[in-house]
Amino acid sequence: MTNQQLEQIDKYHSGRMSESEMASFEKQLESDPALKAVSDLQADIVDGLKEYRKLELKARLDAINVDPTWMEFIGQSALMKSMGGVIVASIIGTGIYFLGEKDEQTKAGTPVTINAPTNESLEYVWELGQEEADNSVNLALDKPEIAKESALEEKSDVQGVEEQLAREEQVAIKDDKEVFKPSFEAPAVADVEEESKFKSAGLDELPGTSKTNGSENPIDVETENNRSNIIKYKYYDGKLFLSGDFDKSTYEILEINSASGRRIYVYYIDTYYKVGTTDRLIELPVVKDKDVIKELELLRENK
Amino acid sequence: MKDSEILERISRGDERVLDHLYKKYYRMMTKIVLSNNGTEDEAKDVYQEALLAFWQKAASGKLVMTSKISTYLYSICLNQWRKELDRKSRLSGEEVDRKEFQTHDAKERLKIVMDCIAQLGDVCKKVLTHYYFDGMGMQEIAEKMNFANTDTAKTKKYKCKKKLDSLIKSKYTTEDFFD
Repeated sequence: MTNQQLEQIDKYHSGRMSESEMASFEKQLESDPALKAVSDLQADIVDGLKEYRKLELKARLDAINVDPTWMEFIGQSALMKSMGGVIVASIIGTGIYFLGEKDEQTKAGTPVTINAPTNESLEYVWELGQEEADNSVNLALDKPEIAKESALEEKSDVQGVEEQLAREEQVAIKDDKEVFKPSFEAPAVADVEEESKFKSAGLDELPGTSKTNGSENPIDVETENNRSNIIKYKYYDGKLFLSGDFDKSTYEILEINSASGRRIYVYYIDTYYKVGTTDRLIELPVVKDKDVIKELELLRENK
Repeated sequence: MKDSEILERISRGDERVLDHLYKKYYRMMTKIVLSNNGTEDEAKDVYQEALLAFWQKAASGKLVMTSKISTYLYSICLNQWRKELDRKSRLSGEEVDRKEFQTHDAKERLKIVMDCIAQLGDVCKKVLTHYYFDGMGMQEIAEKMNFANTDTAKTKKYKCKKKLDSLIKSKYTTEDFFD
């Protein structure tokens, strides 16, 4: 084997030959079994080196953490839409629900809520607290995910500020930790005369994540991230569109449903904003009313 | 980082760019497989293969980019996964490892070669894999390995290869694979 031949073999297997060189070399291989044998051995060696390097690089890649950081997650605008959905879901899931029909009275005594998207909406009559308020609750049998909340009750006993809220409200606060996902059989109407029965069903011990819709449709949130310091918004048909720089922190949507209607607030970096209804993109107004801020603070603290 | 900068750094064999790309396009590329009946592992595998194929071409300077890197990677992943789905359907759902198709001898030989490579020193491993897999030139290897000049790189490559060849030849003869 001449040095030139060895060099050719090396060039051939390391992919450093031109098309024409390759063609002529392959012809030589066909006609020279000794050359072919040496070349075959080199093929094995080069294959092994390539495989070795590939495994090394794959191991390197495997060691990379590919989970996006929270900031990246927020920043990926493609994800923003689903993000909005997640937030709404968790909002409603965690929710502090004092619900009831508009004309029914629910004292803040012991609020219990079951809200879920429903195919068959079953109406249950619940007796809540001493006031015996009836609530109609939609229970989705195919999605037994339930948000239950009791945190707000103490607050409303203590604080007079949000009495008006406490009557009938649906408050939603984003916080995954507070979401419960109990799995249970939907009780028959006769079985649910006492809310205490339901309460003792172990819901508190069942953490999890939940996608639960309120009895009223939750608002749909869509966000657009940009560098602007001014947060703009549009809100109509239950769809909230936010535009602003949301990289710095996470925002929270606070939803209060009371007899006087639904009120929506946005909380972002220590500031509350009031969401009105508008189909034009306008600047999100900051809440300045101290009473309202206090009320919202309490809601957030008690989430 | 711009595509042109990425390509330039790959040609110098800068593996940090590989990390950067891997992370950057992970979701985008694995989604191709995940949303087409693939598992997380399959998705990762397809993406890694595609990325390394890109790396290899770019490092050896054989790549003429006519599109964005992401578009290029996307098309490799898509093709790879189509091929894989095709292969799976031909096997009518049976789980057959790709390696089953390699003959027993070929597998044995690969194992011997890999064992011998593992016996080499780190410098030899690097020089040889950079030369044969990454397709880097002597100049780039010399710079990356901090050799004094390209001649040092050439000499190293020659000596390392000779050592590996002789290791493998001795194994091949003793194990009767090579006559």
